[in-house]
Order: sequence, then structure tokens, then C-alpha cells
Amino acid sequence: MFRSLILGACLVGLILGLAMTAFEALGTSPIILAAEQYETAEPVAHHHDHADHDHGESTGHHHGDNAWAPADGAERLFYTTVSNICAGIGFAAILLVLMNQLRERGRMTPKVQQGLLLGALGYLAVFIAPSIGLPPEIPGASAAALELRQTWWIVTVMLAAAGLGLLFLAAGWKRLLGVPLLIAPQLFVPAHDGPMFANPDPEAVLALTELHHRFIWASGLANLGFWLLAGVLCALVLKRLADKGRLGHVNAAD
Amino acid sequence: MSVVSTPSTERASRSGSHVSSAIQQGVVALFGALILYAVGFLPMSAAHNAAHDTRHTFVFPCH
Repeated sequence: MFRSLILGACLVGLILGLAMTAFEALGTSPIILAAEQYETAEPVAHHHDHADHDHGESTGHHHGDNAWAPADGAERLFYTTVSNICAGIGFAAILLVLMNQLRERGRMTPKVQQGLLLGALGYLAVFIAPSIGLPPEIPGASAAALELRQTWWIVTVMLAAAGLGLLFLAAGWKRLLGVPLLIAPQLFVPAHDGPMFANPDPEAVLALTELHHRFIWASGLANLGFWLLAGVLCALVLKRLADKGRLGHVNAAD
Repeated sequence: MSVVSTPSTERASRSGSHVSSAIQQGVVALFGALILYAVGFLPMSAAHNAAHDTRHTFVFPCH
């Protein structure tokens, strides 16, 4: 079972990562590259949170004076694709386990339709919930301390997943317990005071604001595509594994 | 005696495989979480730069 689930996650993740790379090429990557053009004028004060040896002397986009970074073009695309595939494998592994838990309890039959539903819920928990508090960001945007936002992101996503789970799976009034889990993190958003972008030039701010709005839509659509595809592919893989008897006989015995 | 003990052994082995199955699935989920941590949250500069565009698109906090 372990082997089957890991291999299934790798297969689904590979497809998801390649699809995400295509979505990025169509939507988000051009916006990221355009925003980086305004980033050279960025004051360096908020770079402190990236590397211990970075004392804020770098002015370029990539943090840390001697830090390695892929060259723009083919090399950057390659590393982005590998990262997308890894992210796809990670999300697919968790989604497969969640779906299998639901299947074992008779709360889900692995079919395309239910896969789409689970994928949509994943989109709500992992993209929409954190984006309400911290909207998708382009390079050059100012924000609160990184560690604080990362912690908030993880807590928000986990509470949103638990909240949606309660709303959909609990019985009776207990469903309502999901609502505070969805709302609570939004009351503690690590917000950033001060100007939205590090670049003080008004023309740059205007351009960045427009890029930012486009990025919200582009990333929203890319992630919607990613999660719906993730839901369907995970459901199909799970169905195949179940049909072949690779998931044990737990549900048959219970 | 054996008539009584057979079902209980069966039940034990079934619940044993239940536990083992839960542990296996837990490890798969942990594997997924570790990969996501590496891609989305690892603070090393090289990891950040390699996964930069992925982090932005997936709205992992970046910069």
C-alpha cells in the first residue's frame, strides 16, 4: 500500500507539475518577470529574513550576495518545473491519503465527480483561505516578517482544511464548528504597515499595482486548474489502486 | 477452545493490519508535507531562488 500510494503521488505530481508550468507560462511567470524589472531600486532593509549571512547589502532580486540562483531563461524554467513537480507530489500525497481515509470510511467513492469536489475544497483551503488575509504577491511587494507569514499560512491552511472537513462531514449542529475555524485566522493576519511596494517611484507603483491585480487573477486561475486536476487525478489513481486490491481490505472487512 | 480463539485471532490480525495501514498512510502524508516544506518554506537562499516562481504562484509566503 505504501509503495502504491507513493508511486501514485509521484505520477500525479509529475502531471500536475508539468500542467502548472504550462499555466505559469501562460499566466503568472510573465507578470513575475515584469515585476522584477522594478525590483532593482528596492531598498534592502527587509532582506534580513532570508539568509544569515545576508546583511542587506545586495540590491538585486536574488537574496544573499553569494547565493546561487538559476540564470534567467532555460535554467530558471528547469528549476521552476522541478519545483512545481515536487509541489505537485507533495500535495498529491496528502490528497491521496485524505481521499483514501474518506474511502475507507465509506464517505467517498473515488470517481471523477467526487475528485472534482475534493479538488475544489483543496483550492479553497490551500489557495483561497490564505489569500484572503495575504493576497498573492508579486516580487517587490512589501510585507511583514517572512517567518510570521509562513507560520500564519500553515495555521490558516490547516484550520481551513479542518473547518471545511467539519462543514462537509460532520453531522447536525457540529457542522457549524467549522465556521469559526475558517474565520479565526483572518482576525490575526500578519499585515504590513506602510507603502505596498518597496519601490517609491510613483510610476513604478502604478505599474506594480496593475501587475499585482493581474497576478491575483492569474495565480487564482492557475491554482484552480491545479487543484481541480489534482482532485480528478488522485480520484482516478485511487480507484485504480482500489480495483487492483492495492489498498488493503480494510473497508471490505469493516 | 480453538473455536473461540480463531475469531479473536482474526480480529487481532485485522486490527493489526488496520493499524499498519494507518501508519503507512500517515508516513505518505508526512512525506508529502516534507516535500512541500522543502519547496515552499525552506529558508536557504539557494532553495528560495530555485523554487522562487513556484513559491509565488502557489502563494507560499515569499521574500
